[in-house]
Amino acid sequence: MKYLLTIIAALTFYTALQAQQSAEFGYQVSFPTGDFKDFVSKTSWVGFSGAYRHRLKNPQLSLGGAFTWFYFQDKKGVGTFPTTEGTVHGNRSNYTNIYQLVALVQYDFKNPKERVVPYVRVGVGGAYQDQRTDIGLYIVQADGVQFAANADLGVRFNRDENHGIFIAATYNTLPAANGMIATSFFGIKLGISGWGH
Amino acid sequence: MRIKKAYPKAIAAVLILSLTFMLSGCYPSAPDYISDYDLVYTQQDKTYDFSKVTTYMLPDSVEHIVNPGDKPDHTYDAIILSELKKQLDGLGWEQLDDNGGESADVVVLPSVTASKQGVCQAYCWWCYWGWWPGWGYYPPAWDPSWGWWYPSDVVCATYNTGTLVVNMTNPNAPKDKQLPVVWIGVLNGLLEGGTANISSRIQTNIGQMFIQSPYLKQ
Repeated sequence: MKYLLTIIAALTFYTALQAQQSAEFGYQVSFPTGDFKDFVSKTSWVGFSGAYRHRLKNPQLSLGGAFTWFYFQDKKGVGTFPTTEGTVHGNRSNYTNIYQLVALVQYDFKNPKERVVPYVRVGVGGAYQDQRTDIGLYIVQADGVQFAANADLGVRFNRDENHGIFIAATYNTLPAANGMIATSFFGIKLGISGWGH
Repeated sequence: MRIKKAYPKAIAAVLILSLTFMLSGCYPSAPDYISDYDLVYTQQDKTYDFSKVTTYMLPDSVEHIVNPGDKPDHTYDAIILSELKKQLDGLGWEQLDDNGGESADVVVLPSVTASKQGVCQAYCWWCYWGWWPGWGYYPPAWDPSWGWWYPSDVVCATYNTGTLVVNMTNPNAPKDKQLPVVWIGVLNGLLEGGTANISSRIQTNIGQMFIQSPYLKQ
């Protein structure tokens, strides 16, 4: 599945170039919430995203897509914990890789060519996630495709008509599926963006 | 149409090139110590009342399940048996002699394998334990057609390296030619390190089997 996502993402960016629209690159720090926090409680410092958007007739509105990779890990250390059947004791590490592909809708609260442009963005799509627990010599794995949705509230600072940087608060959610626990996290995203014509 | 600025194109190029790296994923670094690979798993038959157990039998040897032609390593048998006795005595249970003429409430059977082996794989139970004289105190007479009976929800994992499996059986309640296993303790880890280190880990982890099974001591 993740290879399919790769192909789609590559085509997405290729399309972005052909259509001469916006491309952006972001880095995100993420903070697990909800049930996901029980699985991984540590802050994630690995989160990278790429996106493209196509402006509509109303220039404050744009549509596009984004591909994102997140990695979370939490070395729980040696401990004893119950399973549904018995009790396990060992050195445990929980971790997950998430590859997410979503369709985007963004609304800029100002003319997008202004210096400072606040915006709100919503993304809906799918993700391939690979949740794993290493314990002793064993790996307990649950992976598969999930629904994925996210929302950003951010500000873009334009250096000129074509270049800018942005910062955003973001929230991601992936409901439980295929044995994977529900995944949700807040994040702070920093990035650069550029517009073609 | 053409792209006026190379900036978006450059971003896209970086992103596409980064995908290969991204898709390889990230994984935690390996543990620092061999003991970090040790795993202890226990499970009980939830329908069995351990509070009624007062006596046990423990054979004077550890069975080694090996592939044909392989020579079993008995280096740690004495450590395993002495630590099991220590822990079982610590429960307040009395060890009965398998030649003493009296049946015990449970029989504890330790097995070791250094190779790939499923914990509840139906290996030849009789081949490994049929010799034991203690069975003579339990009706009916066992024969090679008998096998283990595990709780239905036991995790039947396959263990790849050094594994000690401690089966606690209830020979007083056989059914359908099966010997009920009322508690199972599994220690799995790398058979690496010096003899003293491995012995220490075996003792510690057998102790852990009983620490995480408080229902045995009632």
